[in-house]
Amino acid sequence: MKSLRGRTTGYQPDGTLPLINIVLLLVLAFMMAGTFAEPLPPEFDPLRSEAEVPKQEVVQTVVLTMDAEGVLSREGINLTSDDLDALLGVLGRRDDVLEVRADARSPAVRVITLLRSAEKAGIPDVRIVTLGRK
Amino acid sequence: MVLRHPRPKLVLSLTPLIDVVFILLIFFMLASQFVDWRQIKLTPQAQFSGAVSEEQTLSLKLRNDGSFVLGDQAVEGLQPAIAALISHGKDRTVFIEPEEAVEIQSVIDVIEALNASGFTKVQLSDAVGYAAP
Repeated sequence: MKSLRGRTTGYQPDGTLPLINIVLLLVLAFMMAGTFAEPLPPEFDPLRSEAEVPKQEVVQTVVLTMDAEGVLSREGINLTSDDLDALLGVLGRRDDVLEVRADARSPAVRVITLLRSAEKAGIPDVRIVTLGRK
Repeated sequence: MVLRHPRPKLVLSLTPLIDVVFILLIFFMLASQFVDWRQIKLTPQAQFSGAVSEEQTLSLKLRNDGSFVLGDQAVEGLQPAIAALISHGKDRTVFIEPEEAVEIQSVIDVIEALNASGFTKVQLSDAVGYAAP
């Protein structure tokens, strides 16, 4: 018995094309609007300030993160005092930017000690990164 | 007479493309952040003030219990401390000296309150060479 369904002829547009379009647009949106997330310690509570200067993306930037206990890390790896001294020495010679991303609960004296070390190492540009007030 | 052979139908599979695009989407979703970070740029002491005589400075200690010591006088609360500082003159350089257990957020709050009150020369502790602008 012959099928009663008519045979399709010619070009049939693929039904998945609109889906691909939307997903590509989403990819583009994330690429344009997002920045790569720095690894942060668990339960990190960022500093908050009234600072209105948006964080500038500088190529030669080293981000140091300090958790609530005052432990320093870079890219998720904890730094010993020797590591820190070596890193600051390198930064001072290269005129890199140092960004300090401290937990709001971290001891102020630890942050100040870090700033003092950075100055001794000759780092000319040090920034504290915060979020806006809630 | 020309014999025409029927052309084979070209079928382009979109499934690998969709797979790759979805993987890209998941990657950017996981690796991106939309947090609005701000920055406080600090000035090295040498560029900030040069030599500051003791008559031009005021020391504001932040104690662990949340109270303040202005010079050698205890002050309860930030606003009374700022009022006492203003009475000495806004052109003075204020040294902020936090005690061991004071959180950095408290120090930032004090610096911002001082800046809002018109103090432009604020330094972190007398030994530290960076100052908030």
